[in-house]
Amino acid sequence: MSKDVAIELLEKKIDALNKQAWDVRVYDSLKSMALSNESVELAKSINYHSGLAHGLKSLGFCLLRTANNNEALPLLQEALTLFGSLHDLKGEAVVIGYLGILQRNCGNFGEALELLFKALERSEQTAFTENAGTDHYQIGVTYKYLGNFEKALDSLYKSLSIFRELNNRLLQSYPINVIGSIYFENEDYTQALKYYQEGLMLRQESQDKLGESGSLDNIGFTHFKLNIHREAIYYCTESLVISERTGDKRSQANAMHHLAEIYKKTGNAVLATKFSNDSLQIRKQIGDKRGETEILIFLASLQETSGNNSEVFNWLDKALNISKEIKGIDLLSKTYFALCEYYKQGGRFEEAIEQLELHILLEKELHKNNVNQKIHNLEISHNAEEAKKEADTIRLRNKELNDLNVEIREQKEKLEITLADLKATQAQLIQSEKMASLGELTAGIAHEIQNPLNFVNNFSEVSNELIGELVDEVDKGNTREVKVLAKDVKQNLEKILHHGKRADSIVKGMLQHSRRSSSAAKEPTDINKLADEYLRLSYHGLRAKDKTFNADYKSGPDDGIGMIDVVPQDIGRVLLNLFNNAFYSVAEKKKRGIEGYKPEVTLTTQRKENGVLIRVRDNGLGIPKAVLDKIYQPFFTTKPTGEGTGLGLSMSYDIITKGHGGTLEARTKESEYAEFDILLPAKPTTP
Amino acid sequence: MNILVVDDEADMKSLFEQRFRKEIRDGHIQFAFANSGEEALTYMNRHDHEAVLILSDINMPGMTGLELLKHIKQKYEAPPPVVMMVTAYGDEENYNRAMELGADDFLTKPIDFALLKEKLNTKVNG
Repeated sequence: MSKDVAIELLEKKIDALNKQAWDVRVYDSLKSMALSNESVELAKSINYHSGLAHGLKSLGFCLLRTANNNEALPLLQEALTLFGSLHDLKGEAVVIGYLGILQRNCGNFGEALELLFKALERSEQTAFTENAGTDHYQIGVTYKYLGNFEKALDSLYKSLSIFRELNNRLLQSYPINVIGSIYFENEDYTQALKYYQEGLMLRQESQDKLGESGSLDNIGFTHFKLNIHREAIYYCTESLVISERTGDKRSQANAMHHLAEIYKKTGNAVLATKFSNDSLQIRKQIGDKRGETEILIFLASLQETSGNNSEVFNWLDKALNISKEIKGIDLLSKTYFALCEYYKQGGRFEEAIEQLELHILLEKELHKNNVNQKIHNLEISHNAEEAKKEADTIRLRNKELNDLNVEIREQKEKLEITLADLKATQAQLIQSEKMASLGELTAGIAHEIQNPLNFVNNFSEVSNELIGELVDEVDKGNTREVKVLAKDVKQNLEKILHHGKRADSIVKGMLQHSRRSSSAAKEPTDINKLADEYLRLSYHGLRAKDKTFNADYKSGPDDGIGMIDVVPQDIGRVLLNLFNNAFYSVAEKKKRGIEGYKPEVTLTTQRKENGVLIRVRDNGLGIPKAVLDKIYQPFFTTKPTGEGTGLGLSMSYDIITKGHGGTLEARTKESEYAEFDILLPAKPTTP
Repeated sequence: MNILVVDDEADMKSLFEQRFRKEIRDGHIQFAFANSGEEALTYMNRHDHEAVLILSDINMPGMTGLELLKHIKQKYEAPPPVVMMVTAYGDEENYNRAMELGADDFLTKPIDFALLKEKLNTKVNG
């Protein structure tokens, strides 16, 4: 097994571990922690960034869940850096959200809100809807902590509607429960009960046992607040049963504490004491100091009648120590009050007053703290709102920019389509230009071929007759006459061959003209012959089309040109074009009825030092100055619509310049003449 | 019988001389050849319309056969010489145009010499 394959397999294993860890992170945080620990170690060993980022993400979450904030912080920060370098905005959104929760756990609500809003922005940016719902939920919870219930409800309902849209029933239960708890804290127990019950239903449906026991406990205790004790006992007992089954100690202790309170209220001191003691044991065991203090104070309150009970004093003394230890001012205050009651029962009034004074002092401080906290919380909310507004503005601006980009892209795509259409049209036009000049050619050719055919047929027939006569003369022994006849036959056969070849070249010329020229190769060509052929073809072609057309044509070849290397059909096309234009121009001029005007097209060739000049001159209309520099532009034509494609000269120009490295120049005087010079490069002729 | 053949194809002379070698040898027909309409007119002026019959191509550089025909039929009144058009462009339009201008006949290339001889006999003797 090669190293690459081994690494690939390892990466796959890490991905699988991460997926599993992520899937069970809520139900079984301990298992998730073990799995992600393993994936993190493996990913580090092979420097697999993506795997490491996802592993750290799950691990950080599990540490948060188990209240290990200090351990979670560096891991989540590392994950954030990794996701950033991987440009994984979704990963960033999740981790920033966790960092927000972490800050909230540490009591930094302002920072928590800021981070959560940032996470929300990322989630919305990437259309990561589920995470956006979670972000709204966490923002709602944070606002609740800040006592800003209005904003809390606002965010929680947003979260709820997202989860409803996603049809994720388990996730719906989270905002629903917190909404219930907000109503509970505001002592609207009926509304609270409604939400708690809906949450319970959703959790039962989704088999979320942990959540279910929490919901049952909430419902039980809300019933207690409503003085519906039978239901209160029923729900809290159910909660206890389920949390015992899942091994969720914290929930067990909570349910027991609540049951104890309910039994105390209903006068069942025995069960109240039993559940209190059980709850105390568990809270000691799991190190829930607050819970331990609360239950200790509660236990003491159960023993009101025994003023000198040393056990009660021990409980309260312990509560005092713990609340001092954890700086729980509210608990300390409660403990002083309980001690006051204890001394009062025992008739120790001085000590009782002492405790009462301490209690009142702390209550004042608590009240002051509460007011300060409220002001502080308002500030935090305000700051968070400002930050959010700013982020919203930026997001809006980004959205506008994005929309603009989309529009630009759409326009670009439209233009590209138009361009493609134009190119296709251009190709079609080039083809139709070929076909148009081909049409002119075929008209000429169909008739022109009859001329050589006339000779081929008739010279063959005559020769046949001559051979008959020759045989007769042989029989007569008239050698002189035989020789004359044989000479005639020989001459005729030469003529037949000549005109046969002529017909052949006419047909070949037509075929070559319609063929794609780009692939055609240069070959040594007799320019004079080629030019002359096309001059005739052009002339006869036009004559075939327009009976009234007439013009004189002359050619003045330079016999010293020799053969030069060109693509004959391409040069043929250029010449045909120039001839057609020339004949067209003289014909148009003739139509104007100028007295004594003799239409004339002249072809001359000339050997130059480094090339061959082919000049096509006509005494037609000439080219107006204004359009002279446009004549090589594609689609430029002065002919009436439908008569010219405007591609002839443009194609000619390309063929001469790009195809043959030559030049094509025009000289003209309006209404007098036009002269086109083709200069084809060629080596000096070797004699 | 004097016949003037007007055609820009140089080999026409050789072809006619061979096709009509017997008639020429026997002195029935004399041929003259012109390579263009202009040349034909010059010949006719010079020889005071000796030619009783003109065989003319249509598509030629310079003056066309039809122009020549028009010229002859207009200028040489009583009686204008017989003019037969011989052309590779045997389309309807050409034919009608030739007939309008007073052509006596219309033949297409490749020339059917048997047919031409028959027509010559009819035109001249009939």
